[in-house]
Amino acid sequence: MVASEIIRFDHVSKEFEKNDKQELQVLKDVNLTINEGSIFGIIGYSGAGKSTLIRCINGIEKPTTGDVYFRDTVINNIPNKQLRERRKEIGMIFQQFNLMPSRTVFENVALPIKYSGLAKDEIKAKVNQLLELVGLPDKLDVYPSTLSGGQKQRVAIARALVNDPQILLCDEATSALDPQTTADILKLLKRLNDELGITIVVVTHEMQVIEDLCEYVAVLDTGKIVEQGDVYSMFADPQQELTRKFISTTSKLNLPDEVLDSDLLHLVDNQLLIKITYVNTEAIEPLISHISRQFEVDANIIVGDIKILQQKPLGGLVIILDGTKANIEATVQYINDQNIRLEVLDHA
Amino acid sequence: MLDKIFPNVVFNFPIFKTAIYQTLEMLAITGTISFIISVILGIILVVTKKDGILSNLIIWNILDKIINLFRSIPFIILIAALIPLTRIISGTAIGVKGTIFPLIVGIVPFFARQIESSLNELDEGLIESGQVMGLSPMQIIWSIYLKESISSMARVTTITIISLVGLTAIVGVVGGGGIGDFAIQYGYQQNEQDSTIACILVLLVIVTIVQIIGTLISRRATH
Repeated sequence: MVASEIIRFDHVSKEFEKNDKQELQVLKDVNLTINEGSIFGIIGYSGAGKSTLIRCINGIEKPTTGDVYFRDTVINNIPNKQLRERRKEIGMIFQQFNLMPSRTVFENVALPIKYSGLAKDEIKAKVNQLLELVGLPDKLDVYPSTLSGGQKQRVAIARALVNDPQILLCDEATSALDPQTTADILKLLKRLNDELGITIVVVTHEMQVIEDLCEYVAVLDTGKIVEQGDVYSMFADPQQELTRKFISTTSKLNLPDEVLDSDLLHLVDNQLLIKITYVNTEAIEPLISHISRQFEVDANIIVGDIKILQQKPLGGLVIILDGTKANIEATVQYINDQNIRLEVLDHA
Repeated sequence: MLDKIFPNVVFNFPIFKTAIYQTLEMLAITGTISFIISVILGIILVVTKKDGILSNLIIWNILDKIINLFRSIPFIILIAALIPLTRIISGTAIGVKGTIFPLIVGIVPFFARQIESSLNELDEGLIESGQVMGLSPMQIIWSIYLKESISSMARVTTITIISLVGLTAIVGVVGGGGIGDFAIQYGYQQNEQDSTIACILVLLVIVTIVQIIGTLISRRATH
C-alpha cells in the first residue's frame, strides 16, 4: 500500500516580531511530508523552532510565508470557524499536561466534547472507554492534582483522543517524566498508533524518544530542517554533525573524552583504536575472526552495542587493532571495502 | 447594661437599624451590579490584550485608559463630579438610591483590574489546550477562564467588597445614608463617641463575614 500524505509543509517560514522591531526567524523554508499512520519525530535543541513547527499543524501558529496542508486543506488559510472544526481532528498533548485543575479526570476528558451535542450517556461511555484505553479506568472522579506525572499525561492523551482525531501532536510530551514513565508513555503511544492507526507527530530534544517511537525523523537546527528520513537510515548513516550529536546521546559506543585523553587504554605502537558501525549484523562476527586470520591483527573489543530499530538490528564496536603497521593499514582498507563505516578514534 | 455602654445608640436604635439595613442594601446592589460589569470588563481586557484569544489592541487600549482615568480620581471627588449624571440615572443624588451609581463607578475600575489580574494568573497552557480542542472563544471564556479562576476571583471579590464597605461609609458624608452617615451625624457632629464605636463594630462584623464567605468559596473551588 502506498502511504498517503496527511500533513505537508510547503516552504514554510515563520518570523516573530521582537520588541525592538527586529524580526526573529524561527522557521526557515521548512518542507516536510508526514504520511498517514506513521510516527514522525522532529528533534532539535530548545529554541530550534520545534514548538512553533508543530503548532503550525493545528493552526495555533501561522506561517509568515508558505503553506501547511492537512490533506487538501491549507490549514493556515481557512476561516476560524473551519479551523476549529479541523482542530477536532488533531489532538495535542503537552509537556506540562495542561489539565484543568478544577475539573475531575472525567470532566477533563469530556471537555472537548462538552459542546458537541452528544448525549450525556454517550459522553460517559466515550470517556470511560478512553480512560480504559490509557489504563486509568478507576480515576474518573479524582482531581489532577492527586495524579502522578505519568497518570496526568495519560489523562491528557485520553482527552486528546476524545474527538477521534486523525493526528496526535506531542509537544515534548515526555520531557517532564522520569525514564521509566517516559518508556511507559512511549509504549502507550506506539500502541495507539498500532490499534487506532492514528498518525503521531512528536517534537522532542531527546534522541531516545525518536529511537523508541518514531519511524521518520527530521532534525531541526535553528529553524531549518538539516536532515530528514527514516529513523533507521539516519541512525545508520547520519549526514550532519548535529544528527551525529543527537545519535551519540543514545549510543553506548562513545568513549568519553577523559578515556581518550588520559591514556587509560595504554595504546602502544602498532595499535589503533577504531569504531566501526554496521548495519548488517551477519557481517560482523566473521569480520573480527576474518581480520585476525587474514591480516594477523588482534582485535581487542572495548565496547559493543546493538539496538533494534524498526525491527532491524543496528550496532557497532570500538576495538583496538594490534599488529604490524602494514597489516593494520590493510585491515582498515579491508573494512572500508566492506562498506562498514570506520572511524579512527586514537592511535599511539 | 447595653444602655450604659451605648446610651445614644440605644436611644437612636431604630435609626441605627435603618442605617445598617441601608449599608447592607448598598453593598448587595452595588456589589452584584459591579461584579457583573467588572467580570465582563476583566474578560474583555484579557481576551483583547496582545496575544489574547480575541486580540484587539484598539479596544484594549481604550478600556485600559478609561479604567486608569477613573482609578486616579479620589472617590469623594468622583461623587461630586458625578452628581449631574447620578440625577439623570437614579433620579436623585441623595439617599441610598443616589449612592448606587457613584459607588458602581467608584468600585468597577478597581474591581475590573482585580478580575483582570486574576484571569491573567491562569496558566497560558490551559487556554492553549482549549484552543487546541477546537473550543470557540466564548467556550474558552466560560469553560476555562471563568471556571478555572473561581478560586482566585473569590479572593479578589472579597478584597473588593471590603473596599466597597469603605466606600459605602464615605458616601455617608454626602448624605447617602447607611452606617457612615450615622457615624457622621451622631458620632462626629453630635460627638457621641459610643455611636462611632458601634458603627466600627458593625463594620467589623460585616467585613469579617465577607472575609469568611470569600475564603470558604475560594477554598472549596481549589482542588
